[in-house]
Amino acid sequence: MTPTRAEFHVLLALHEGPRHGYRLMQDVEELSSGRLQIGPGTLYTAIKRLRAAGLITETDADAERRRCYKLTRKGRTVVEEEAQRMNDLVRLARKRGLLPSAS
Amino acid sequence: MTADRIYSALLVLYPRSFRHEYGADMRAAFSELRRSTAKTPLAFWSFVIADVTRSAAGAQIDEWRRGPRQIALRLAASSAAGLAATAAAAHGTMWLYGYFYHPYLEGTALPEAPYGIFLGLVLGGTVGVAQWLLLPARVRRASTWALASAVAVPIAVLFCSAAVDRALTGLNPVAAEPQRLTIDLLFVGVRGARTWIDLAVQFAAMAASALTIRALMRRPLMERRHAH
Repeated sequence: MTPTRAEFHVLLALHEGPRHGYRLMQDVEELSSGRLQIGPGTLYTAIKRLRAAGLITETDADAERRRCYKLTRKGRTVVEEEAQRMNDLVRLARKRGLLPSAS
Repeated sequence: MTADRIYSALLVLYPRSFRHEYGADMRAAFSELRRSTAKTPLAFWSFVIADVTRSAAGAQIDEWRRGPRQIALRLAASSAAGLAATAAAAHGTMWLYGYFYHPYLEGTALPEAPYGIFLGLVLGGTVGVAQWLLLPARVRRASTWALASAVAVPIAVLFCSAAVDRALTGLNPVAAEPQRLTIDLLFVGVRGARTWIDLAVQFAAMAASALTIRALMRRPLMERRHAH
C-alpha cells in the first residue's frame, strides 16, 4: 500500500508513539509546518484505511478515554520505506538540478 | 443550532458503518478543533465543509468498492453454485433413469411433480449453503435475502419448469444427448411449464429448502473462522 499524503503524515506522527485523533490532527499540521491541515473527516477516513491495511492498530484509551492508535510492525516498515523512497527522489532531484544542493 | 449539532448533521453524508465506527470520535475531535481554532468562523466552517465533502465522498467510494461489489460477486457465485448443482442433479437423474432403463418403461415418464420438487430442493439447498459460506450475516437479512432470491428464482423457473416439460412429454433419456438436455433445460423451461400450480409447488420447495438452510445456519462460516 502506498499511503496518501495525509496517511503518510499520520503514520509519521504515530512513529513517535501512540496518539488520539485530535493530537494526530495537531501533529500533522506541525510536522508539515502548517502546510497540511486535516479535519476529522480526512483523519478518520485515513485511520480507517490504515487500520484495514494493517498499518496501525487501536491501543489503550488515554486518561480522557479517547481512542488511541499506534503503528504496527508492518506500518513502521511501510513508513520507513516510504520515507526512504522520498529521500531517493529528493537525491535524484538534486542530482538533476531540480533542487538546490544540500551542502 | 449549535456548531456540534451542525457537525453531527453533516456526518449523515458518511456511510452508516463508518459513522457507527468513528462518528463519536469525529464529533469529539471536531469539538476540540473548534475550541482551539484561531480561524474566523467563516474560514473555520469553510475548512470543515471542504473536509467533510472530500472525505465523505472518499468514504462512500471506499464503501461501494469494498462492500457491495464484493457482496454482488458472492451473490452471483452462490447463484452459480445453485445453477451448477441443479444442472448436475438433472443430468444425474437422467443418467440414472437411462442406466436402469428397461423396455418395460418404454413410453413412461418421470413423475413431474416429485422431479420438479427434487430440483427445487437442490437449487434452494445449494444456494442456501453457498450463501451461508460466502455471505456475512448482515447481508443475509430479509431485504438482501429477497434480492438474492430474485437471482435464484428465475433460475428455478427455468430448471423446474423444464423438468416438468421433459417429464410430461415422455422423455426417453436413453436417446437424449446431454448437451441438448442442458440447452433445453435453460431455454425451453418457461414455455414448457404446464400449469402454474406445478411452478408454485416447485417454488415452494425451493423457498422451503433455502429458508430451512438459512434457519439452520444463522451464522456464516466466515465469521466463525474470524472469531477463532
